[in-house]
Order: sequence, then structure tokens, then C-alpha cells
Amino acid sequence: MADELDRATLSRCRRGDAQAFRALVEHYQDRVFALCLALAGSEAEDLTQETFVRVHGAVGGFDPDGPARLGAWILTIARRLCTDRARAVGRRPTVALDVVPLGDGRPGADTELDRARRARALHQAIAALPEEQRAVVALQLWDGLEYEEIAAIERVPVGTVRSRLARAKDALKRALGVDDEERNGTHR
Amino acid sequence: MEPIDELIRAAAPRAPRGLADAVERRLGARRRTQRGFVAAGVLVAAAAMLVLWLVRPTAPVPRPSAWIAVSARATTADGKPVAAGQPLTAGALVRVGDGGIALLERAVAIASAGAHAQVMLGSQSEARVGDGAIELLSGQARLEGPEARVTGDVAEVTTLGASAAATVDLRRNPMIKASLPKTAALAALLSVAVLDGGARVAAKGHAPILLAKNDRTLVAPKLPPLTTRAPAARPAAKPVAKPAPTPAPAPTPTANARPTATATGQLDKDVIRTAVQDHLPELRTCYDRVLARSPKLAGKLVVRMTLVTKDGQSTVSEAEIQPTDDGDLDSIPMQTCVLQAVSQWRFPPSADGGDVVVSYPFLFATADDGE
Repeated sequence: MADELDRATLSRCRRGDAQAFRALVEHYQDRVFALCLALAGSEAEDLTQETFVRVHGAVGGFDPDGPARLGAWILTIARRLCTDRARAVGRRPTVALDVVPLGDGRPGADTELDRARRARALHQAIAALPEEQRAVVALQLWDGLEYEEIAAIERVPVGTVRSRLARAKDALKRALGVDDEERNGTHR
Repeated sequence: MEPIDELIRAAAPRAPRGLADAVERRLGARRRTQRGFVAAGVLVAAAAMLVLWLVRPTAPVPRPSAWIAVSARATTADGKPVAAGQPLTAGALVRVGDGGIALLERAVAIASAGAHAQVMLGSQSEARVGDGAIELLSGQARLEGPEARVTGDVAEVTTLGASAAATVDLRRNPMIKASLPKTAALAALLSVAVLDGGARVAAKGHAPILLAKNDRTLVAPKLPPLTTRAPAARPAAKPVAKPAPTPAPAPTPTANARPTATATGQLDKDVIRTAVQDHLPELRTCYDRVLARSPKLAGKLVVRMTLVTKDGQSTVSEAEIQPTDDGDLDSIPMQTCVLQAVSQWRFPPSADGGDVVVSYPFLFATADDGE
């Protein structure tokens, strides 16, 4: 489970503290960006910024003792924005692979090129998935949400989340040849 | 954890550097925009208020009319008491209270007559002051002098002659409307009686009629003026028919058309008689309706119609009740109902296409009267 912003900082955010809100943005920006990238491709950065603008206007009404964790609440906002944008634009999002920073970013290692190659191939494979599968992949594997939280965001039963995730993984395995590597023992 | 999970997690994208700064910049820009909107809203509101102030309706400047109140009792003009000798402003609403009276005089005399026109408003009357005329809204008025003029929504009445005098009574009576459904327009009824000299009555939509001393007329919207001529003022060519014997008493009220009608013009009397006979049930309906209120009402009405030929038929362009020697059927609702019915009648065209004037007597009597 992904860690959450501490309650003290959240309280300050809700009172309009700018420094606390910056801390909130920095805490959740990677998760929001990952979801937006999976769903909206090249518009991910703009949508991430817009998500936090919306969060800024609504965080005063967020109930820290309510059923949703802050992270799931923020990602719900991001998900809706991405859906609205895709509907407004009316086209399938494209993934801007060349601008995506990967992993921990440390240069120099021999594995770095290989990792970048794999990541690029993976993003291409994710971009080829249907939208609902891209969403569950991002929410579960990149954002660390529970199945129940994903089901709430996607407004589908938990079983549907599981099946969408399974189908997505199968497709990605096929696209990346992971099964072959596993059988051949070449996966690192 | 499956290898594919590990692979996907390892490829998790990270937000671009400076994203938190970009969010702050966007928030700041939005705040400025909101402040701008507020400022613009304030400016627009201020500009709108300025425009409204500049184009605000200014109070109308009282404009003197040609009328002064010679005397007044229990009378107000625009809500303020009217004093004797007070000039009246144009457009002022004059109300005469119960038991009150107001004598208004037009300051400018008619040069040819050398006299001033006067309009006396009776108790519980209401009128608006115009430049040349008094607009009677309800109640009674007495006109004296040359060209004393009263207007209304149904007609304009002007006295003729230096010593002319006439009374005008405008009633707005919803009971008339209720009792005569076919004459809904009768909610306003203007009656004019000439006491001396003459008067000109111009009903809206009809040619003006001239009244002589003791003539009277009733005017209602959408109806021809209902005129009763005084015997002295009757034209020489009055109906020639002597009252014929009343037919055998009917068990119900009857409207008896007299076959001795007169007609001038190229339209055969038999043709007229046949056409009138076709419409007698309408007059009987009028009579039945009035009898419900006045069971003993009976008498004669002589209707004078002017027929105009157009588009292959003759229509009634004017109609009036002529006085009779042996007494009119004295009922305003009855006379009005008859006149309304007659005004809708259609006749064959005249032979030469010219106008035809018809005087037709009708005798209304119940079975009891005939016995």
C-alpha cells in the first residue's frame, strides 16, 4: 500500500497553507503523473497540474476520517479529468515515450540501456491496451491502490478490476515476450 | 509477485521536475484571473449603474392644460385636492368623490362663439385632462358651450352651438356583460343626451352622427350607435305604416315583424321582408332574455337600417332606433340586443348597387298583452 501524506500536513493544507500544499503536490505528483501518462499520453503533465489545481480548490472539503484515503481521492480527480479530456479531444491518447524519465535515473550502469529499452517497450505495450486496462495497470502497479479502491474509482466490481488486470498482464506479457524469457531463464 | 509486475513497477514513470512549481504558477495565475474577473465585474457594475443613472427616467414636467377648475367639491387631481380657480395640468387624473362635483372650463374661448366650453363632472366620476378635451373614464359629465368635448374609449362627443348642452354617461358594467353574453363588448356603454343645441358623436369605427335637441344615442364598442331621435327632429319621411293589428296572441313572447316597412332604394320590399322574417328568432331571443328580468316589458321598436351593397350582398352599415308616436320599448338592453342582431344581418344586393334605407317596425308583446 502506498504511503499517505501525514495528517498534520494535510490539516495545514485544508487551512490553506501554501507550503503544506506544495508538500502534498510533491508527495503525490509521481502517482498522478503515472496515471495521466497511461491514460492521456502527451497531455499527462498538463493534466497532472490541473489535477492539483482542482485538489487545491477541494481539499478543504476532504474528510480525512472518511472512507477514501487522500491518495485514492486525488487519483479519482485525476481519472475524471483524463476521461473528460479524452472525451473532449475525441481521440486515443498517445504516449510520449521519449520524454518519460524512468526508474531512479542513475546513469552509467550497463543495465541502464537495457532498462530504458524495456521501459520503452513496456510503455508502448501499455499504450496499446484498452483504456480501462491501462487505468487498472497504472492504479494498481504504479499507484499502489488496493483492488477495492480501484473498483471505487473505476465504478466497477472488484472482480472486474481483477479480470481487467489479468487481461492486461497477459497482453503485456505477449507483447514483451516475458513468458519466453521466463521459460528460457533470461529475465533479469 | 509475477515477473511482469516487477517489470511494470520498474518502469513506473516519474513526474517531470518542477511540476510543483508549475502547479504553484498555475494557481497564482488562476487567482489573478479571478481577481481580474472580480475587478472587471465591479467595473461593469459601476458602468451599468452610471448608464442607468444617466438614462434614468426623469419625472415628467407638469405641463399646463387649457383647462381650469372653476369650482370643485370633493375633487382631486392626481390625488391632491383641487381648489377653485386652479389650473389643471395636462394628463392629470381628476376624481370626483361621492357627492362631489367639478366644473372645468377651457380657458381658450372659441372665437366664433365667444364663449368658453365647460365640462361638469358629476359625483363619482373619473376623467383625465387633455389639451382640448376631457377624457371621461367613468361616470357622468355635462357639456356646455361651443365645442365642449369629451372623449372616451368608445366615442368622442362634441357639443355644437354656443348654447349647446349635453349629458354624457359612461358606464362600465360587468352585469351587462353577464346578462348579454353575445355583447361582451358592452362592458363599456356610453349614453349621450342632447339637452340643447346639437352634438356630434363619433363612435370608433363608424361615421359620425349629428344629434339634435332631445336626441339621444347609446354607443358601445363594436356596435353601431343606437340612436333615438326626438319626435321634433324626426325626418319627414318617417315610417308610413300605421300599426297593424297585432297577430293572434302567442303562448310565448313574440317579435312581430310588421309588413309595412318602408324602404328607399332599389331593393324589393318582399325581398327585405323575407330576409327579416328569417332573422326573427334572433329578436325573439332578445325579448325572451329581457323578459326574464322585466316580465311586463312590451312595446314597439322601429329600426332604421342603411344597407350597403358590396360583394354581391347588402350589409347593414348603420342602424338606429327611431322614435315612435306610441312609445318605444324602453329598455336599453333590449334595444342594444336588437341593434346588435340587426347589424349582423345580410340582404340580397340592391338592383342598382346603391344604398338602401329601410325602416322596419317590430312589435314585442307577450301572450298576456294580446289577450
